[in-house]
Amino acid sequence: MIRAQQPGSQPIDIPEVIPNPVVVPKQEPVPKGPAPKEPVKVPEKVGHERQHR
Amino acid sequence: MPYGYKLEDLLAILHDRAPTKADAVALDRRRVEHGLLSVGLKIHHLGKGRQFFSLVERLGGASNVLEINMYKHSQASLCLVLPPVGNARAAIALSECIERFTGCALFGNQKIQIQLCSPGRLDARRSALLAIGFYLGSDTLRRYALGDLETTVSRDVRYRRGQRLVIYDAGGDFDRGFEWWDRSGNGKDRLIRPQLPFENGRSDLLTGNGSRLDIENINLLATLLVHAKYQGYWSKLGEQFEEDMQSLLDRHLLAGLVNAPWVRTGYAERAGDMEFFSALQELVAYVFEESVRVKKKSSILFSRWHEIPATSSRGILHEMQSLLQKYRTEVVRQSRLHDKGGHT
Repeated sequence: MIRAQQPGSQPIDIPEVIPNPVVVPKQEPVPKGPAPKEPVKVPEKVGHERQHR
Repeated sequence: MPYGYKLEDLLAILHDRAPTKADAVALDRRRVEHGLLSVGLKIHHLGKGRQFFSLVERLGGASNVLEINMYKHSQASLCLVLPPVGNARAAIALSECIERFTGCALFGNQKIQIQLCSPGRLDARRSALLAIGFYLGSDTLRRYALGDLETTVSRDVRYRRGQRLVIYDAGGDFDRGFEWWDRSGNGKDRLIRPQLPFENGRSDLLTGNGSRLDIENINLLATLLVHAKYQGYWSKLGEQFEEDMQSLLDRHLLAGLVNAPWVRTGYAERAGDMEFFSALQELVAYVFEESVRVKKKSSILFSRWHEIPATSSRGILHEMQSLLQKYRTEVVRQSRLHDKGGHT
């Protein structure tokens, strides 16, 4: 926020960033923390094949 | 661009927390869409950057990944340089993988400054059009202080890039391995070359807290302007865009802005920072005033703005959106026409 002030007048807060009024915003998810690590997937056949060796 | 690691290594790490998206980036990483330019990103973190520590550590540690590069925003604690990818969608998806891994929002975040790197050095006038086009087309209207554009090479005696929205590369590594759309000898056929026609050189844009739309817009604008300069496949469209942009600025009595030094091309403009900043301030003031006017307009007109041609006097913001839409549509249309075997 930028604060503009003239002597004897109330200060005015000027925003540094505003949305462009002609662009319709798209809703995108915002991350709130790291995603949990994906579990390691073990192919089902591995255990099965071992039994045959 | 020094990054000290391979994209494959980064994707393998990101795969832990964003497997589907990381796989999609891996598949698309070299894919050029509609002959648009490749996209590189630099992520400047203005906070402490703790959320990035784990990622940096797994990539090989700060000395390999961060300290290899002396360049960053002057207020940034770190600058993570991402390897370039073939298209804007892949660059956005890669950013989203990083968001997911670190838990740190990269888009629209005051602590994050996104720098978008496009191959090819634009001349001063085209750099002005790139910066102005980006600013007018963004989903965010920003006010700047000159210090916002200060980087570690602004005053460095070797580089002297100044405080600008557009800055050139510093030489060094350059990935040419992306398709370049050219025209064949008869000027009609499309010729796809396996690599970019220049050995190095980039035009980077400091978006500030940028968005997905910024990445797509800058990629389109840079493609049109770089093709116009290097006589690529989109050169005619690029020249037409330049004329349209010039007319747009003329209509709003802003044509003189392009004469300001929007990029530092050499050693001549030592005192150019203030001249550039005055031009930027004039643009910003004009646009903020217009944004107030637009908000007062009826919602009926607003909902139908895209039906108004770019030449109308409905305001500079509307006109810029129409221009971007017009050229995006035209690039896709001509590209698809070629895919079906026709000529443009």
